[in-house]
Amino acid sequence: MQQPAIPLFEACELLFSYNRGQSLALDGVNTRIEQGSFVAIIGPNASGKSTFACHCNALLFPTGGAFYVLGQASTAESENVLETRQRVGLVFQNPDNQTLMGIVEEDLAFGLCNLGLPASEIEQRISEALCIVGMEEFSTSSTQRLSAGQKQKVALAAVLAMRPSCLVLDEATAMIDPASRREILDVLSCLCREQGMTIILITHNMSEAQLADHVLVLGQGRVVLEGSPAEVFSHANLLLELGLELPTPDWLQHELVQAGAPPVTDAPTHTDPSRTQAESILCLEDVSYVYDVGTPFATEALHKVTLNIRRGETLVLMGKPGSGKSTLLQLLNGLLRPTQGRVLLHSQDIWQQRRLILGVRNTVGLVFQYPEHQLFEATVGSDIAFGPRMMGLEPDEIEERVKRALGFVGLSPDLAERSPRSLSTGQKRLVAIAGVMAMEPEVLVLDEPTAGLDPRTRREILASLQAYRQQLNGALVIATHTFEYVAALAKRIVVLDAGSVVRDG
Amino acid sequence: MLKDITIGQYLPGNTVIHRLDARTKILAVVLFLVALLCTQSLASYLAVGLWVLVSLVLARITPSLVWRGLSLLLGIICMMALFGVLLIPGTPWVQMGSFSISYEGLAFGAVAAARFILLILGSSLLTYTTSPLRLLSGIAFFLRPFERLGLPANELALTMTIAIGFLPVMFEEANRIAKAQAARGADFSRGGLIARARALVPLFAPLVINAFNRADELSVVMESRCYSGTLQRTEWRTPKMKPADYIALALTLLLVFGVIALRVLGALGIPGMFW
Repeated sequence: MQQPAIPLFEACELLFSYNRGQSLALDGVNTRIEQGSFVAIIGPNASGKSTFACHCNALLFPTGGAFYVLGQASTAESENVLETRQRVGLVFQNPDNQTLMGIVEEDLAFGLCNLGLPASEIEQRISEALCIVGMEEFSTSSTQRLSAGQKQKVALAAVLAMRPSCLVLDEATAMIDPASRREILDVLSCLCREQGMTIILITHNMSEAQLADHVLVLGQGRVVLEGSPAEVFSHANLLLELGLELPTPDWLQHELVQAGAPPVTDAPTHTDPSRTQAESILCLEDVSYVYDVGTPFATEALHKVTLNIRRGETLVLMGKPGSGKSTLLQLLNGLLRPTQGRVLLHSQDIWQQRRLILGVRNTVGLVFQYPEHQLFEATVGSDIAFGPRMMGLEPDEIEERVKRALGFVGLSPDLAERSPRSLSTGQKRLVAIAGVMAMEPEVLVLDEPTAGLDPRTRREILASLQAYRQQLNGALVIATHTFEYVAALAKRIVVLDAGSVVRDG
Repeated sequence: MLKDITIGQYLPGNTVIHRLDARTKILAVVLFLVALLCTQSLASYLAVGLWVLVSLVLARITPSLVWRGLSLLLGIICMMALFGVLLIPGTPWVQMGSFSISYEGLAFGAVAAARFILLILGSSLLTYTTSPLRLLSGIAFFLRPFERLGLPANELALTMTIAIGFLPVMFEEANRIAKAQAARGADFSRGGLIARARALVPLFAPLVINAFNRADELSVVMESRCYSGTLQRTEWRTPKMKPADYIALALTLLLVFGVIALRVLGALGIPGMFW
């Protein structure tokens, strides 16, 4: 590895404010990032991580203090803005909002055309970049047909094609499945080791942060901790105080020890007598679902699935993308009608009478992925009240329900008057979940309820879900592809693969 | 599934139509729209229909794809036809009290539906067969003369291209939001007109908010990929005008003249089988 005299980035008392000094997103950051290093930045939501990333790419410029790129101060007026943007590639969180052109190779070409490169060079760089991320065969595919993980690989390739010397990933792995995540991380470490590329990985996943050789912990716009992963993660209490957590195995054991359980690894409760006796609420009987029935595109998403959901249980549904998870969830509350088989609610077939369906949706509440994108009312309170209002409840009852729902998710009742848009992402998510809880369904079904959130908010959500289940003596169904925290919560895990249940226990 | 919405989407391929210069296709579609506007007689409808059919076949757009594009708009098409059928007075075909369906109404309804279908098919041919980057340079080419009037041609072309490209994404999102609100008990199909319009607020409000957020994020992505409207961009894989392009344009021009000629002949009252 080379021995650079000047650091790639250097921040000196870096200040940044989005609103002319009313509040500071970065509040005196001091740090150096050396060329060729692999740095992980962790910190709770709104700690200034993304703001810092945007400084690296000359998308934002310091309000106060200074930020140096290879020894040169970065300002809006400096001539090397485009040079910096080319040198530093940025990959963002949301896979859907990163492709500008609908075809993979053209999306890669977009940036290269902006650089004014000759056509032959563009051609060569595209195939090179796609090869690095293992997406060669998709070069002429429509980006829309790709999975989230594949889209994110294309976004990475689009940045790599511009031949940056530094990559900044702003929670780029937060919204994708574990397999793609691992593949992307492998590519990153390879680029760092073999080509000496500087990697800055912003993440909420502590195991990912462990891959780095240097970890930077941000909190409220300042560097709180800095050092090798071993050093940083030895400050367990400080991290937990910040709302972060320890890398999984340690964390799980930590929690288990605190709960008084011996730190053993064997699976929880093989035979739970209470389970078989508990009353069944919702039941799928040999349910199959086929999309586009009767057309040449007919595809079977689910094949003869039988599933029994009992009162008081927490069921975790796992499976790769495309395994039929979200189809299954929509069958549970009657948004989709099974092609074959029956869905029974309290032993009654929900599709027997059409008008029963709306009632089913009140008994089985479904929270989709990223539910905060569906908030629409002017205030938090009226948004939460939407469900109860649609149920035709009395105004007093509605008000009571809104209060109760805010209580379940641990938000203060004062929040009801605020606009949802003034909240943080984590709070918005809680409000959206409260919106379904307010309907007080017996079965609460959630699709990836904690995706893209920081550890503290993740814990808050899981705690409020548990509280809800206990108070109503209902059931929880959670679909996810992350093992870690769900293992601590679930009594029963169902694994789906290619539309069939492959494990239940 | 709404994921398969084909309107505005590019369907990769390597047919004669796909290989045409984007400028040819844009011009041809504009000419086609002129022809459609002038269409009046059965013969000219057949001619315009034939043009669309031949292009679809040449571009290997399968009937099922066409159907998926149209099915979404089926409601609008039916409504237009129905308006004609119910509202146009004339020689009655069916009489039910004060209510009647006339032959003229039927004819009008059929014509309205046919026009609309041809309009959708003809114009989606452009996006089906032109990749976004080519479409971009094609649109930019036609906007460039307006630069003197202070129109930002390149930026505008890019905006249009990205907007077209995100149509399917918006459909998908609308579908997702509709489902989520349905899960919260929203019912989009009950009540009178006002109740129904009200029921759409939970659908459109988040859609608009999300669209703005998306625009924000996309602009950051564009900037981070060194986009700046002023720089000289490379024209990558932009095809040159080839004989096929001139033939396509000539055929389309022929269509326009043919349709106009039929209309003029019809107006002159020259008797004939079709007009």
